[in-house]
This record gives sequence, structure tokens and C-alpha cells, in this order.
Amino acid sequence: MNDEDTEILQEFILETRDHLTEIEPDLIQLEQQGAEVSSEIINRVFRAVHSTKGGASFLGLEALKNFSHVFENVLMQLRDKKLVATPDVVDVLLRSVDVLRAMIDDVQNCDQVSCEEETRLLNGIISGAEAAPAPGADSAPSSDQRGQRSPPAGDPVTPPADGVPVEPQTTPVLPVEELSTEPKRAAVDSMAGKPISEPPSPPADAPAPPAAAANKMSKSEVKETLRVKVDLLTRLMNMAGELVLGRNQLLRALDDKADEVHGLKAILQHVDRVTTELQEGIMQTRMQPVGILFSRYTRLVRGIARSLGKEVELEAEGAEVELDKSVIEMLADPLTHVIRNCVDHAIEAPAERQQQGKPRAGKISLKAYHQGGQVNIVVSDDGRGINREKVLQKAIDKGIVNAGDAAKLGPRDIVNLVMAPGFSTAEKISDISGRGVGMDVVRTNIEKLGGQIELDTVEGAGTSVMLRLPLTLAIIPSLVVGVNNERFAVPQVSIVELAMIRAADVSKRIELIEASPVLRIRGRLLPLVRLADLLGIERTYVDPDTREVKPDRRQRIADRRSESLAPPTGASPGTNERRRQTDRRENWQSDYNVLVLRAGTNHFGVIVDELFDMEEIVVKPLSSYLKSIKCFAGTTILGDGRVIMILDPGGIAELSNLRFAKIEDKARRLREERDQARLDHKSIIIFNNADDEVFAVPQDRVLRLERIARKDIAQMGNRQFIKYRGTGLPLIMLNDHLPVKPLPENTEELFLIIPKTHSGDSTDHAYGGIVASQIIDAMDVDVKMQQPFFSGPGVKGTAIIGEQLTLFIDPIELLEAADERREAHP
Amino acid sequence: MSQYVTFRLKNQLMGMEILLVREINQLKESTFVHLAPQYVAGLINLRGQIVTIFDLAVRLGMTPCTIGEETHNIILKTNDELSRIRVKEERADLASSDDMVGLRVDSIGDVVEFTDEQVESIPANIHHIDERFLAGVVPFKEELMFLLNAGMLLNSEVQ
Repeated sequence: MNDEDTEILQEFILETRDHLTEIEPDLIQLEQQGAEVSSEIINRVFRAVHSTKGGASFLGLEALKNFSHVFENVLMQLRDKKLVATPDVVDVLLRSVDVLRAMIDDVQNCDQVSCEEETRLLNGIISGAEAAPAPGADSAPSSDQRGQRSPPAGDPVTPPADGVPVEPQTTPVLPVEELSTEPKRAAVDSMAGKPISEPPSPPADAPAPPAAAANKMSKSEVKETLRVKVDLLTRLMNMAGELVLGRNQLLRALDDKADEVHGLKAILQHVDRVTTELQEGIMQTRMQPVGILFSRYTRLVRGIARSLGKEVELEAEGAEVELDKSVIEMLADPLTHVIRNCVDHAIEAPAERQQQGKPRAGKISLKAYHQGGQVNIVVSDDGRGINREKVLQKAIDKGIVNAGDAAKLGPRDIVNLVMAPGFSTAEKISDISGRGVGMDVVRTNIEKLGGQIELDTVEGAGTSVMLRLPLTLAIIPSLVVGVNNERFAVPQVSIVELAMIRAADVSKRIELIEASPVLRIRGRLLPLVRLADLLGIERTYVDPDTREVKPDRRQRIADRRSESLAPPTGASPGTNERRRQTDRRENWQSDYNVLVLRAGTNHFGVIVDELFDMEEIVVKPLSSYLKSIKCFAGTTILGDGRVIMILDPGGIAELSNLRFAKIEDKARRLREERDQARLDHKSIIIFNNADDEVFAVPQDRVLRLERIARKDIAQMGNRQFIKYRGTGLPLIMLNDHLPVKPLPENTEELFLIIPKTHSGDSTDHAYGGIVASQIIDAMDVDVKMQQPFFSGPGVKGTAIIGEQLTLFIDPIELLEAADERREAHP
Repeated sequence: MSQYVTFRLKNQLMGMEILLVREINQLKESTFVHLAPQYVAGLINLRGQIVTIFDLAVRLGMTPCTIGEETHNIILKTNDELSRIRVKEERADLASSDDMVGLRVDSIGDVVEFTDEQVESIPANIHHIDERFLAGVVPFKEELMFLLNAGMLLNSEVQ
């Protein structure tokens, strides 16, 4: 086969695939219309099958030609109203579409595809229809306005065997294909179930030359489209990227000359604008409507519903919303799974639905829309919803959450547990009515393409799955990080937060669990990896004195400084002198920049040297030589032309063997130990009364802190007041109620700790204030409370905080006690 | 008759069939890829396309190249670009990689022409080069020129 023939064949395959995709929803619509079949739809299906037959005959693909011929015969019966598109007939037709597709997929061996069964079924339909001609079969289809008559009923279709070569309707050699409407319009309309407004085109059975047909098309309705190889688009996109780079360099280079050369500024602006538009335009060529995807599900839903004896309607909205081709491709499987779950598990049997007062037919709605630079796709159903208690119980049984944590979960968190890894395995979860099967895989896939997924449910009323997707995979916002003069990009979606650990805090925040470093961050323990170690990069630091780059010899992350760090050889005594004054431990060079990354549901920290800017990067796939390296997701070219690698958090976690489970275990054990030791985790405010006595109150018992001047305190009898928000606020001196020292004499500035009222009412009405000489700190602590040395109103205990014995006071109790005392001794 | 681009690697004269060569350049700024196979010298940006540069010496089983004044990259065509040439030249045997690959060599020489008859099989005494990657040898001006087998050389599964 020569080059040209190969191209014609390729073209034929692509076109036929498109045709087959388009006729599936049409067939299903025929079923819905029953006897009132629209000639428009039937003609469209007819044309598609006929084109396939014509092309196959032209290319000498006998099996394909013969099968399409039989298929076409059934369609003729339908068109001539000799046959009604019952579900059984449509089943056979859909099966036949599958056969055609199988033949097209391996076109050279299409005669190997087994089609006897389908051929028999199709022929059976034909003979059945001919035996009992439907009424009205001979009435001319008046709605047919195309000027050309269909052949009379029963007229055999021009058999390809008669020696007349059938010209394929869409001639493969013609590169420009004139489509009746834009593909996306077609998808939208067919999804919405509206008839497609279609310009007249020759009926398939009439061997009219395509040129004549094209002439008859009204030009205003026709948009010309052209098939372009994706490779070429990718190449164009690369070149556009390169052009942007060149433009940036040009603008920078000519920046100071723009005023010197007359007219240069305008030229540069023009180049600038055109370049940007060019790049945007090329990006757009890769965008496709999600309708392409939606239209597949019509058949899927019908198929599953029929096999389960359910009735399900699929509604789609926003089919015109566009996403990058690659996103659409990667979305197909997870979305299929979600929809399959809907029909399988969520929608009840018709009888059950009627019992509950729901319509017999379940409804699944697919909705796509733009929001904040992303595309949201929501799949919702009106099925039975998910039972939260059962989900929670199962999650606890499977060890996904422990009972303690479970109590803290919100309703939405609980539903989303079904997507946790290990929640559902092959085992069916029919006991949990809803849709949990394999959702962890769905979640992984969605996250892989930079999206997010969330479930919500109302038990008995339905579930909705919300997917948030990036418009394109090709451009993703990323953070550029540096390790030893090398740069890497980290996709923003996988960054949970950035943390900086000061050198002085390193030993406090980083500890070892079974020789693996972990970071303590807000009470959680995160496994920690040093990117340099992972990649085998020699670690360096910049000497703060000499600005020299030196190897970093700290062996472990938790080491603040290696014992063996020798003074730099050849350094002047002066340098050594200074080194002693500013120990590197205290210097910023020893701080750690930690990226907290997300891999699935796990979080972990990655230590890097430097953080640079966020950049929108164009992702380029890894070459086959680099695919085996786990920790990279792709490559990209930075604005300055330099090639850098994109990090893959999942791969890093895998590669560095992060033992999430072990660390979780350890964290749980630590929590339990803490509980046993009756350690309390508290947010507290620490203050002084006299300088050497330290007190603490829990933050959650305090309404607010105020600064006051001592001279504003008014004395009335044995009570002290201060004017506060228009009223007199009673003051409480600690030494009036507790055996503690009074306020120091010399302080002019004092502080008021205003407790919340005990009734817990939310009005910020103040009943009194505790006077303090100094607020020392507000902090989170884990304390082991001991019995106090004395008892008194509000005294809770003592604990050592920062080497200071601290008295814990409940300010509310103290305030109430003071109130009672005042009333008792007015 | 086939044309070959000649080059030197560790002083050894070698040839690559010109039908496979896309371009030759001297781009030296490459990005090293950690954890990559040893023969991957790095990645370069060729007008917006990323090219994997092979350290040819390492790939052939020798010590790494040192970059000098005369160091060149021979950028090869991809399989996709070759598909037309295969048909046009009736050379179904031509094979390269699906990715864009460049070979780092010490210096570039002339383009020479040989007939198939001139190409001899690989002598048994060649040990310093992995002979899986050679297509044959040709006696040329009192030297032995090694012709490379690009299909094997660029096959990521051949270690």
C-alpha cells in the first residue's frame, strides 16, 4: 500500500470512528421516540453507516462493507416505518455499532472480527419486519424536504456488488471536511435531545456526487473545519512557547533603546500582543467540549439500567464547556466509574422508588460549568444516598480512622471517607447503600490530573460528586524551588503549605522515629525527606563569612551542626574569630524550608534550599529514558530557557519509602501516652502579677485583653473600677483573692484579662477584669498539671512552663467567686 | 549507496547514517537529570523542544565524554519523522526513538558515502565498545570506521 493509500485509510478510520460515536446517542433517541421516529435522526444514522459501507468498498474491506450493508438494510426498514425501534431492536443495533467499531479498530483484519451472531440478529429483524409490514409504510415521508426521494419501500439498497463503485460520501482524499455543524454543537444538541438543525445534505442512499451536495449547503450555516494531527499542534505549541521566550528576551534587550529608535516602541508592543494572542490561539486548538465525553454515557447508562431492570434518565448540561484534550482523555475512566456507580448502587429499583414516592425513573444529571479558572463537573442522582453511620462504622472497622478522631469528623468528612484508600476493596458494599466502590481509584485519577473530588449526600434523596478540574494539563501553576543551584518545579495543587523551621527550633520540631526524620507541625507528625538526599545531590551551604559554597556535612536532618565540622582550611584567623561570634546555628543559612506536599491522602515534608516564584509552566512529558525515575512528573522550560524537572509528590513518597502507616502509628501511640499521663494540650495566655509569679489562663475562657493605665483606676470603698465602654467595670486584683504578691508599685501600664461570661452567651458584655502587670506570651503547650500548693477560687493547678512554675487559673470561676464575695461583704 | 555523518569519540572514527540525522549543534547548556540512566547526559532546550542528550561514550561502554571546544550534539530524527523516509527510501530497517534524542560526540567530521558492500561485519577483537550498538565497520583512510546501529542505541529497554 503506498503512502497516499495509507493516508486515505487513516482518514477513513478517523471519520468512521467519529460517525460511530455520533450515532450511538441517536440510536438511543430512536428508542425513546418509538413509532414516532424522526426522519432527521434516522437519516443521520443512515448516512453514517452508508459512508462506512462506501468507504469500506472503496478500500476493499469486504467484511466491513458486508456488515454495514446488513446494518443499513435494517435502518431502511426503520426509515420506511416498516419497523419500530423497540428496545430489543436498538440493542441489536448498538451491538452492531460495537462490531463496526471492532472492525475499524483493526481494519486490516476486519474479516477476523466475529459478526455472525449480529448478522443473524439483523437479518432476523429484517425478515420479521418484511413479514408484517407496518401500517403507513408506503406513505411518503413528507417531512423529508431534501428534494431527493428516498427509494420506494422495499427497494433494495444499491448493492456494492453490482460493479458500480460507491463513492464514499465524505471523500477521504478531500482534506477539508465540511461538517454540517461544529462537532460541539452536534454533541450539545444530541445530548439535550433536541433535533439538530441541519442544512440539507444528500441522503446517503442517493449516489449524488459530494461536490453537488456541498454547493447546496447554505454557506452561512457551514463552518469549515480541518483535521489536524495532534503532533503538529504540540509542535506549534512548543514553538509558540519558544516565541514567547524570544519575545521576552527581545523586550529586555531593547528596553533602553525603545526611546532612541523612532517607532520601535510601537513595533515591540505589536510583536508583544501578537505573540500572546498566537499562544492563546494555539492553546485553544487543543480544547474540546466535554460533550464528547457526556455523549458516551447515554449508552452506558442505558446499558446498565436495562441489565439491572432499572429506569434511569441521564440529563446533561454544559456540554459546550471546553477542556484540554488531555484532560478529557484522562477524565473518561474516572467519570465512567462515577456514573456506573450511580446506576449500579444509587438509583433504586422502580418499585422501590414508587414506594418512596419518587418517580419510577431515576435521574442522573451531569453538569459542567466554569468557576474561578477551573471547570467543575457535578454528577448528581436522586437515588438512595449514603448512610453516614455505616460509612463511619466501616471506616473504623477497617482502621481508616480511629474512634477518637471519628468523633471530630463533620458530616461531609464522613461521606468523603469512602474515597480513602482501602475503604472498599473488591468486596461489594451493598450493605452501605450508596456509591463507594472503587472511589479511591477515582480520587487518585482525578488528583493525578490536578483535580479535586468531593462527595456530598442526603440520605434517601441522592448523592452528588463534584469534580474540580484544571482547564488544561499543559499549563499548570507551579512553585520553583532550588536545591544546590538546581531548580525544580512543584505543581501548586500538590502543595499543602510552606513551613520554615528556624535553626534554633530544629531540634524541637524535628525528631526521629525509627531512624526516619519527622516534622512536628501543629500537633501532627509528618515524614520528612531532604530532596538533595533523595536525588543524590551533594548538599552545600553558603558560608556566611566567605560567601563560599561548602559541602554541608550535617548527617541527619535533626542535627543542627555536625560535631566534626572543622574550621575552613586556609581561612584567616579573623574569620574564625567571627565564626565564634555568630555561630552558624543561629544563622539563617541553617533554617530549613519545608514544602508540605500531598500524595493521595498523606502529607509529608520535603526540605529544599530555596523557594523561588510561582510560575505558570508548560508541562512536557518525560522521554522514555527517564520514565523509570519515580520522582519526576515531567519537564518544563523556564522563562530564561532553562530546562527543569517537575517533581511528582507521589513518586517522591514512594521512592523515599515514607512509612506513613508507621508514623501514624507512632503518632497515635504518642497521643495515647499523652492521654495516659493526663497531659493536656492547651492554648494559654501567660501573665505576671508580681514579676516573679507567673500565671496562666486558658485562651478559650478569655473574651479579650485590654491595656489600661494605672491612673484610670477608680477606688470606691474596697472595690476598684475602671471606666470601660461607657460603664464601670469591676477589677479583680489577684492578691485580694489568692495568697500571692500584689502588683508592683512602679508600673503605670497594666493589662486587663476579661473572661467570657459563664453562661457562654456570645454578647461581649464584660462583667469584670483581672488585672495583670504584664502579658508574657500566648502559646500552645502540652502540660502535665499538678496539684496546687494552695487552694483558692479558680485555682486549677500548677505546671512547669519554660522552667517557670506557673499557676493555672480559671478566670471565669475567679470572677464568679469575686462576685459572691462582694455580695457577701458589701 | 548510503551517506554517513562522521564523528570522533575518544579518538575513534564513527559514522551515523545521514537519513537519521535531524541536525547537529553545539548547545552545551544541559540540565542534568538525577537518578537517570548513566548514559543520559542531560536535557537541552532545542527551540522549545526538550531533547534527551546521550553521553554516547557511556552508552557504548566507555568512560564519560569531557566537554570541549569541539563537542557537538548529533540530534536524531524521531520514529515519527522517519516514517515517511522509510517509505520513500524503501528503508523499512530505519529505526530511532519516539523521543527526540541527541548524541554527544567529541568532534564532527565530513559526510562520506559507502555502498552496502563496503560495510564489513564487526571484527572479533573489539572489546572496548558494546558491539550490540554497532551496525558494522568500514575501512576508511587507513582507519576503521564504526557505524552505529541507532535502533539499538536508542532503545530504552536495551541496557
